[in-house]
Amino acid sequence: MISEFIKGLGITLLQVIRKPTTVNYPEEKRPTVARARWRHKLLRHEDGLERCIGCSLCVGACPSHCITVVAADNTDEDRRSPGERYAAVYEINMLRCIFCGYCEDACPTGAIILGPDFELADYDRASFVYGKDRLLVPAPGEIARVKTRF
Amino acid sequence: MSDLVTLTIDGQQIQTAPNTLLVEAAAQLGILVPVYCYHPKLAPIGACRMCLVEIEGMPKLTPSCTTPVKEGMVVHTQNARVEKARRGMLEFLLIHHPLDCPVCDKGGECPLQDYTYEFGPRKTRFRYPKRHWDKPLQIGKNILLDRERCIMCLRCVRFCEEISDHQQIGVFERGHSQCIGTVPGHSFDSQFSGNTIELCPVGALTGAPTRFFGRTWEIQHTPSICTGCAAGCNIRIDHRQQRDVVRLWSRENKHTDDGWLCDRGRFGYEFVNQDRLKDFKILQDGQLVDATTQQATVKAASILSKHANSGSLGVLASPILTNEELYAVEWLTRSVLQTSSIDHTASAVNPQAVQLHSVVREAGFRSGVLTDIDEAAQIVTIGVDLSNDQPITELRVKKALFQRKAQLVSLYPETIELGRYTEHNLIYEPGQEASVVASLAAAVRSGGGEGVVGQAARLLSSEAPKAVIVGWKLQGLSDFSALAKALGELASALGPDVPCITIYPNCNTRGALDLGITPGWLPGGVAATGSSESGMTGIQILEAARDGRLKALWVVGAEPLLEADPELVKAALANVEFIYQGWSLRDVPVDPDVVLANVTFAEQAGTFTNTDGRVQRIYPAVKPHGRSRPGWQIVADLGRALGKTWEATSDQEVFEQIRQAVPAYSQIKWSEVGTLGVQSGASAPPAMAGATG
Repeated sequence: MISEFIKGLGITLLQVIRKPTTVNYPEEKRPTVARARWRHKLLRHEDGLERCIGCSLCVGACPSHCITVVAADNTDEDRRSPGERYAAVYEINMLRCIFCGYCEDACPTGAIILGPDFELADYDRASFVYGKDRLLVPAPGEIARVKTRF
Repeated sequence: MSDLVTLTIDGQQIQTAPNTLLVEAAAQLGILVPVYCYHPKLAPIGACRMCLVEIEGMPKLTPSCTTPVKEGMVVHTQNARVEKARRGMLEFLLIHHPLDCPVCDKGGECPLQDYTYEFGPRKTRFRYPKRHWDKPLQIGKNILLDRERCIMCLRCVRFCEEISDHQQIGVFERGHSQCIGTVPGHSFDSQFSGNTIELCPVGALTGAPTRFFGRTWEIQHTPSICTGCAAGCNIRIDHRQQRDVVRLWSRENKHTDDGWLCDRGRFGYEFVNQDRLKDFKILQDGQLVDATTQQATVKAASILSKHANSGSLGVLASPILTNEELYAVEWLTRSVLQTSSIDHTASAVNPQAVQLHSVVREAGFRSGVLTDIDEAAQIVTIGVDLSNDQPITELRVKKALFQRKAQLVSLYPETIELGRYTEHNLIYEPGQEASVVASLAAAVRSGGGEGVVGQAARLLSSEAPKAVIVGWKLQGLSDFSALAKALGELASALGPDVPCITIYPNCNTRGALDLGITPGWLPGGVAATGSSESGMTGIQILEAARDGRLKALWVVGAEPLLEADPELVKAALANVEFIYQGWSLRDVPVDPDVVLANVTFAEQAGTFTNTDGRVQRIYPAVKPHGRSRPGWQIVADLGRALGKTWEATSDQEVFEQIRQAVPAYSQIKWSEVGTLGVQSGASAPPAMAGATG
């Protein structure tokens, strides 16, 4: 019987000297895995044009219907993306999103990717609808418009 | 049954009429033969070679869209040889196709996509750069052309040649640089240009106003009726998540539109999306402020009750409201407010000519329907320019002229579009209608005569089936009785049972007439007697308001205001207590005292009656904007505030009441109206109307 006590206490003592598994989040952050699928980003071509052409294929692929795209015409004066069409509105409702990554699969231009940013908590529901201002990566030389949280 | 042809397609025997095309015979068996250039309404051409099939005994594959059936034919549509040909054809068609499906408006409803997926090769063997052209090319006000996507099926060109005869586009160049283009120096501004968007089996022709409307799999479809003119063309409202109307598409109904839609209707939906009233409003200290439904209703009811039964109230109801709304307005005006000054138009209409369809019936014509044009060998149009007044009926007349070599006699103050196809253009000075019709009638009776009238009369004195079309512009004649008499003479000269089709201006003018939205006529086309006799017409209402003889105006829908002189409208509205019920304040020049937010046709259920009396249903497509409501519900609330309850909780119940009030509608079963409509009893015996009157 006494041996059981010692065995149990031994495990406890082992935990005391072991390096803790938790980290002091948010001061400390654990690196995410290489293929983590969290917050979406809309990418740009190297010349700064948006990759997204507003084709809505991501909307079609999305199982949780969390994406809204409204397309518009590119003009020579105001060119946003190569070709005829760009996304005037691109919204993702992060509350609905299940981070399955189907949008990434569906995208014909590789415009949308799910990145390692996982800190999506917020205080009101409306701010979970991410528009292009938060999704689109800044153009080269442009000051980041992507709001950072915390 | 000996005149049927028996043949075998894919091992199945079928008996079909001679001259049926193989592709049609296959369709009768439910066998899909892929087609691009074939279209049931266009002449076969065999341009795309997509429909190749194997016929036993023929050395080469044969296009099934140009080959008529023959006795004993044995056809294979699904063997290895045919499939190889299809694969090859699709590889050819895709050689220069840009494959920009993600940005193409046709993507998702594109036969080229579908057939490539089903029959096509997975890879191309073409190793050279694709042909490139500037795109998109705006070839007309409403049409964008993408020549890279075009597969040269020529449906658009054939439509413009065979159906609309507006030959503004054609084929240019040869070989690999062959393309569609406009006739040099001209743009593709045909008022039927939008149909080519629907005909185009790829995304080569797309609509400029509907560009990037959304993807086809994101939009929902609701059957409805076009409100552009009185033809009552069946349409499909395409909308995104019941919010915005993004596109109108044709919906074939052989009784009204014959499968086509004009550009005025197709692109005339912006009023549903833009400048909409979202809230009820009341005027406070010279400012329109949002009010609750209750507040606005009570205020409107107080204005109405103040002027009820005193002859100082005028009511104008738009002829693009549904029958249900018009019936409600009529009920409140006549039964509750005891007012007889109610009209659906503010243009000058001779009181004798209001019920034009009854006038021509009394003149001796049969009440015609639009399909009567399809039977007629001789068509007489009187005072109507169909290309302005009812474009889709113009196409029906053109079909008669082109396909059946019908003859046209046109009576109009100027040369009309259809006048190109006839020598019998009876052009007259405005105001001479009666004498021209009378002289034509006299000439027909005498079997000929001098000049154009004589020639037309010689034509019309034959026995061939005839149809007469009269337009609403005749309603404005100051001396209408002479014309009525002349029409009577013409009817008797043309012989018995000649159908006469009346062309009304707005999508529900006929409904407004049937429902008594016109002074002097009660619902059912019954002439009013006694106290409700002496109502003012629309123009008189506005004049009386300007002169201070009317104290209040209730306007439902702004269309009547647009028909009158803007200065008069402004003066009239500023001078009275003004209740406005409608979907937009855009066309209302003066701030109303009360604004009641009404929905448009796209947001409610109901019925419209088209120019020949066909009752057709509309269905709610999008959600009402803001707190706007169907008109009959607003009117029911007004009635309740005035102490009169009107028992109706659904559009069907309102329609049941209309059925009881209007004898011509009494035979219509709600369940049968469906999406294609039912002809109201225009040909009902006059005794019936008399009995109720």
